[in-house]
Amino acid sequence: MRVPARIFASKEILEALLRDKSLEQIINVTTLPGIQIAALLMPDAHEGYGFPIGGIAATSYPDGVISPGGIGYDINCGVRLLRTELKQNDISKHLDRLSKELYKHVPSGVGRGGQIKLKIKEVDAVLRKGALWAVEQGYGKSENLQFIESNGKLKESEPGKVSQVAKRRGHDQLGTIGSGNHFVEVDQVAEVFDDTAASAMGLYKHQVVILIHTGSRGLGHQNATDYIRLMLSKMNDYNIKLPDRELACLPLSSRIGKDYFASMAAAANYAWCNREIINWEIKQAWSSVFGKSGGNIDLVYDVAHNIAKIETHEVGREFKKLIVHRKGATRAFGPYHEELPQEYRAIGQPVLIPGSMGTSSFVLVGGARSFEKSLGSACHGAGRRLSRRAARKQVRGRELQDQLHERGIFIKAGSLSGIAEEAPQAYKDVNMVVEAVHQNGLARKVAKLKPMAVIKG
Amino acid sequence: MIKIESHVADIRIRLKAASLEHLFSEGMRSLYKVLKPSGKKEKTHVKQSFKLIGDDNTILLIDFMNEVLSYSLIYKYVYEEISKFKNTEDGLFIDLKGYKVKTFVKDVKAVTFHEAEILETETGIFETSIILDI
Repeated sequence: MRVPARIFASKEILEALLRDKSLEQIINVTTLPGIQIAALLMPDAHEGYGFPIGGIAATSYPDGVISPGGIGYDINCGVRLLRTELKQNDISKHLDRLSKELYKHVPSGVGRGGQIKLKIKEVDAVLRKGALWAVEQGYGKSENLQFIESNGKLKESEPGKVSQVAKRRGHDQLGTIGSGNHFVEVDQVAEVFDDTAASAMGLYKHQVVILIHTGSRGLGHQNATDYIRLMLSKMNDYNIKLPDRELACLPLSSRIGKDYFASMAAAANYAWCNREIINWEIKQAWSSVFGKSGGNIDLVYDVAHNIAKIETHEVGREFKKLIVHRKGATRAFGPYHEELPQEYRAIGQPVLIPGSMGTSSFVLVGGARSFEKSLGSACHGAGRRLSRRAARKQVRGRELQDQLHERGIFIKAGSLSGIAEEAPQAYKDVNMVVEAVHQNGLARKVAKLKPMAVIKG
Repeated sequence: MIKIESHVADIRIRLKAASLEHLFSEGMRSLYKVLKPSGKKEKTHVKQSFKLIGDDNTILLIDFMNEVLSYSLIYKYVYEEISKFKNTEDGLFIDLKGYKVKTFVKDVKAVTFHEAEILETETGIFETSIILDI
């Protein structure tokens, strides 16, 4: 271990962490060359491959390593929160139709490509411009950009560093959510914990809001595969020996390290563009159900939870640039950080924590002590507890769908087995996870959201 | 032999075969057990050749499965047969035959190196675990 491993958890959560390989994996992360301060594990952590999900590691800049496995295959998987002008009562009678329209307008699942089919040159433009590309093509609003982490575009992007195979995997997937745990969810604000922060975000009790959870689709997956393989073949040249091949890494200052960072930035831009286009598709669905009476849908915030960023943090008594890897962890900058939009400068960065489809999701803001305690980071979700197979054994998709329907939650999904795999029982108690983050001062609770309709692949 | 096991967030596959070539074939078949091809098998027959270079058989297997995965997802191909498997000093040369399908039911993001290590038992059986990121 080159640095300590620091775990944020309650007693119950720690007991759960001890049942899988999360702790062993975060200890492996502490061996990364150039790692600084500590390897961090969030309360929603679970076993991954190489890095645990919910792991954070910062390495020295520019000679510390960058590890694609510390970001994950789904580069810039993230969450976007939209607010509407309607209240729960306004839409409760229309949920069946709304979920069908959302399912129709927002392609999900494996077999459903998007309506946008790009030529490779156009993919390059998306990779360069990120969410701005969607705005330029009429799918987004320029006002949205300031409410996206990094304004929806990492300037370090170099589309030429992304393989043709990756571009082919992504050429018809813009505007699609994919499968697995990705979703579009219509929620109501069930509880407000912090009136000032909620008001700054335009949130109030019983308001209808919408969450989007997806990432860079096949393009990001292929990019990670390409560079993990490339890095594995070159690690000997740098005398890097690691306990797990999925921790493959090279110094950021190396040619391949730089190329990976440029390609990761490109894939991150694709993901931000993807969520901006899905935002547009949701508006089409909303409008087809409610017409003009549906009012406006505005972006509250869009945040990544699988990404690496160059950030400045305090190391010892000095401020230094670090390469911060967040894999299943959300950036959670506290108040007055220069990267925050003016509207949120005083409250801190919005942190969006989706739960599972039958429980709650949470809106938080970055805590004042998050820099000092967790490299400006918080959790990213409830965290899986059961394997998909175990979930299928315990839960019948149809029964769960009916049970949720009785509670007023409409589910529209590609398959019943997919519903069972994503059952609330498959996840940790999101309340407990969020409480651990809140109590530790990493992020502060603002509002609790309750699902009304869920669209899944 | 292909055995699909539980993993907290992903899928663990255990492969066993009487030869290295058969292990690669089982690795390829295991992908389709997870992806679940859907729709009518189209008449179009497809062929694909791969040249793989790697320091050991485990790297070659994971590379091979990732190549198969990428082509399958992009072109909706299902490969059903390894028609050539030639391991030389210049690399591993593999030819595949298959067909086109309409789509797949499930997605696989990538075949990972985590837990992968091909072992040859005293009885000449090749085996390994592989984690698929789904």
